[in-house]
Amino acid sequence: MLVLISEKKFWLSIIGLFLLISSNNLQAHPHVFIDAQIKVYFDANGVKGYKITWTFDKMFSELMIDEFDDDVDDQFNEQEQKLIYQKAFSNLKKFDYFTKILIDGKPFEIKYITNFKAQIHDEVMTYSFFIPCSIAISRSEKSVKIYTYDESYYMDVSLTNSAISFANSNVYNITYQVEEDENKRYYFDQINPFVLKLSLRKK
Amino acid sequence: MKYFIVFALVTLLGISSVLGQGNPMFSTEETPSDSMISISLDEDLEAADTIQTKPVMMESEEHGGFFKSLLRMNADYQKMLRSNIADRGKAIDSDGGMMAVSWILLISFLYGIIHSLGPGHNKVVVFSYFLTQKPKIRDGILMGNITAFIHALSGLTVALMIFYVIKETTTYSFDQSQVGRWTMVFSFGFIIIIGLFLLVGYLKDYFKGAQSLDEKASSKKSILAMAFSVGIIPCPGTMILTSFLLTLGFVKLSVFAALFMALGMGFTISMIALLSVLIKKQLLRFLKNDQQVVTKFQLGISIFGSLLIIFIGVVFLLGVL
Repeated sequence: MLVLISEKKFWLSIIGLFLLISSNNLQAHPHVFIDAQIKVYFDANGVKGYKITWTFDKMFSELMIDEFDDDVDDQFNEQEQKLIYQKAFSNLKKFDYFTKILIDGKPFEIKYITNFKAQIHDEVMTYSFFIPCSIAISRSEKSVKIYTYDESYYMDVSLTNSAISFANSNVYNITYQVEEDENKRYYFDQINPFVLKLSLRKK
Repeated sequence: MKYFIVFALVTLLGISSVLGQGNPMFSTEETPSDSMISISLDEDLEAADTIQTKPVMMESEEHGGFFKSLLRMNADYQKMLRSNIADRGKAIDSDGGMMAVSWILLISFLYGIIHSLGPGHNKVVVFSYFLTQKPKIRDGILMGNITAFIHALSGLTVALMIFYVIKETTTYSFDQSQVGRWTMVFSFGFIIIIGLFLLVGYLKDYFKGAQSLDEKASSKKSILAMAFSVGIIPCPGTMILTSFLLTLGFVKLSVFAALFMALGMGFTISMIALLSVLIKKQLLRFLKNDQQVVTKFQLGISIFGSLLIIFIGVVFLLGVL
């Protein structure tokens, strides 16, 4: 059959197949799936920070619950949460908690997070934590981008418009949009991360 | 020009394929418990939450077209299949059995096909290996399936070991990175050795001035050695699937699910091996009229394939050391 195709078609096929293999090679291998939610908190001066919530896939949740819910009461008590924090969360500081923030194009360094919680809802595990990030908001427009992704692509982190919410935001004009950023790529330049784009100014 | 295209594409593929790391969530270092910052901010935040306005939401724009959609689709399908297995696994008790079990096995097979399209399955090594061999379709299918089965079975073995042995002796065991680390060192070391072995063989041919390399068919031993080296790294996907079923108490089902997942992965890896075999066959057809060029081409691509295998082995090995 192969001898019947033209040389041009043959080379095009090879190029196509290589692209398919190499890219899928890099894309389709997450082992854990996270649905992220971002809640932006404001105060009188502007942005106060972001509460990130990760909902893990059911299979991984089951394994984590089996591992850490020692008293099998379908919730993580204080001691269990502490252990989860130590063993299965604090390491993410090295990976900026899968979160990159740009304020007017400049990177914001996440020095610490607060309010870590690991919870179980309907046999699904969630993590939530707060990233303090004070940004003064005036009448001139401020642009904030919040990327959420795991550079190693061990975990697939997805984000949608419906996963975004705001608190104490009534004195601000807010426009927001979630998309896969075309201009940024990770994991060997193959994958576009999800980004929350915010345009903020005082009313 | 042809050689340049092959060289560029294979290099691109080789460089771009670096094995996925361990789960970044898990810490192998002891974190002091006082580093967990817990302040009362959360209550303040929840109180603040009572005042709401309506920010303007812009619709998400679709970028990238078919290829990017394909990539996202792959991840979404994996997520969907995993979720489906989780639901059916938990429902086995109430459903009473065979139907749910059959579904889990079928979905495990599909999950294997899609899962193995991702990195971590050393497809480039398989691809490169067949560039170095006499192209035989049967060998491609054989190696693809053996690799997948070893890959899945090593994942299953580690999952069973963790479940029955390590878990009994440690308070924290879910991080399998340490178990997998030495397997990876062994696997990559072996891949380098095979690459060197192939390279030395072809260099000998080169200096002897071989007349026809087409006589070099891959032996069963060579296929097994390569399949073993490539597959021995435990498949994290299989580990998660089988660990999940083990936590539900389904020991036999976890074994069968791993086997069905291996069948699915075998299908994909066989396709990669076949692709390599067919590309080489076709290239040889283009050059069939000139035996001298064929021999030079065979030798060149075989040496290149051997070097690529060594390169991948070294890159991966350095990554885990």
